[in-house]
Amino acid sequence: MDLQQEWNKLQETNLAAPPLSEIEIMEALQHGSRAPLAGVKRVIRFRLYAVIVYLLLALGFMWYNWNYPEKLPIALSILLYYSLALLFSGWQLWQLQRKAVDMDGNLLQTLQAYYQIVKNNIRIDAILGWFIYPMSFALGFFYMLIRPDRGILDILQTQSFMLPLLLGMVVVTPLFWWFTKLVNRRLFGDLLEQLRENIQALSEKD
Amino acid sequence: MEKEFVQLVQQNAGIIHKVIHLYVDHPEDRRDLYQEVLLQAWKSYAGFKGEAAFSTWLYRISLNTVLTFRRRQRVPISELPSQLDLASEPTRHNSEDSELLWLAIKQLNEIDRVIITLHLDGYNNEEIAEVTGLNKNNTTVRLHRAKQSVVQRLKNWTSAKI
Repeated sequence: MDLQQEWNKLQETNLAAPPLSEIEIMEALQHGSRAPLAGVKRVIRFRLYAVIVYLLLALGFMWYNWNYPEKLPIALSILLYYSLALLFSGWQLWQLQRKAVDMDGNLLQTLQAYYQIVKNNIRIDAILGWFIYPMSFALGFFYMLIRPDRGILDILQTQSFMLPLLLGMVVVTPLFWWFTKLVNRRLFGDLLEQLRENIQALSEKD
Repeated sequence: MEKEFVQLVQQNAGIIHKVIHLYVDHPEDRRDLYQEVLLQAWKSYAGFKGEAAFSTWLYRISLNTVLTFRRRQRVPISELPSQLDLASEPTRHNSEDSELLWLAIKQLNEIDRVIITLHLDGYNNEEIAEVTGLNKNNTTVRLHRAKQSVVQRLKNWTSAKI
């Protein structure tokens, strides 16, 4: 069998593209990207919106506790904490926009760049998980327990409070960290595997 | 610029169609990918300086987009096709040999599929190396192996038929 001849036949038959109208092209250009990188950006953008909501809530707490000096430091910490989260998510999104993958570059470079970006974002999520969840838990815990007659130092010195706090942090942190990993694996696990296989195949030395 | 882009894409639509059919079997994925390739091509078009032919440039965009897209279903590589299932392909008057060739190519790993398709489309080893990022020697070896694998499969299937 002559491969070239059969290939040419295929091009004229099964592989012949149906005509592409101008309307179809214009419609496609107006469509948002469904590429995985756009998915990564969507996840960060979603986190950014969530942080803004929390930040507004923290501002509400500040306002609500203005005449409640014992709770103010905690409310202020929550506000600072979410301000930092807002800055970080904004920076992460900006980095992603800046490092746009060159889609007309060679295949190996594109796959490697794509793999690195997706992998790094998953890694950042996992590292963040170790700070975000215990901090959020602790701040919420203190905020709930502080009363006019019970300051933060009193709580820190009360063993019956410290035990559930530590236990809660020990349980909540890995649980949410694992959940984040699970979500990321479901969203990007197959893609990373697919990219890794192809990068490996292109990097093999003969 | 938009009109020029539309015209060039219309003239080379076969490349997008071919690359997508080479890797994707799910109809929804195909539709999404078609739109995605067009979108990525448009986004990169401002940087197209005409150093390479538009068709080569579009080939790169199509391959990069398809191979970085999370595909719903990846076709498992089996040694023998249980049936000539080209139901997802438009079936027109076609010789069985070319259908077998298509099937044999689709059973190669994803990178070998790129190499052999580019070769059959008339790209030389240097151009294939440029598109894939392989070095020229590797390209030659990989192409040789891919061809051998396709020929071997075709031999097995045709002898089994007899």
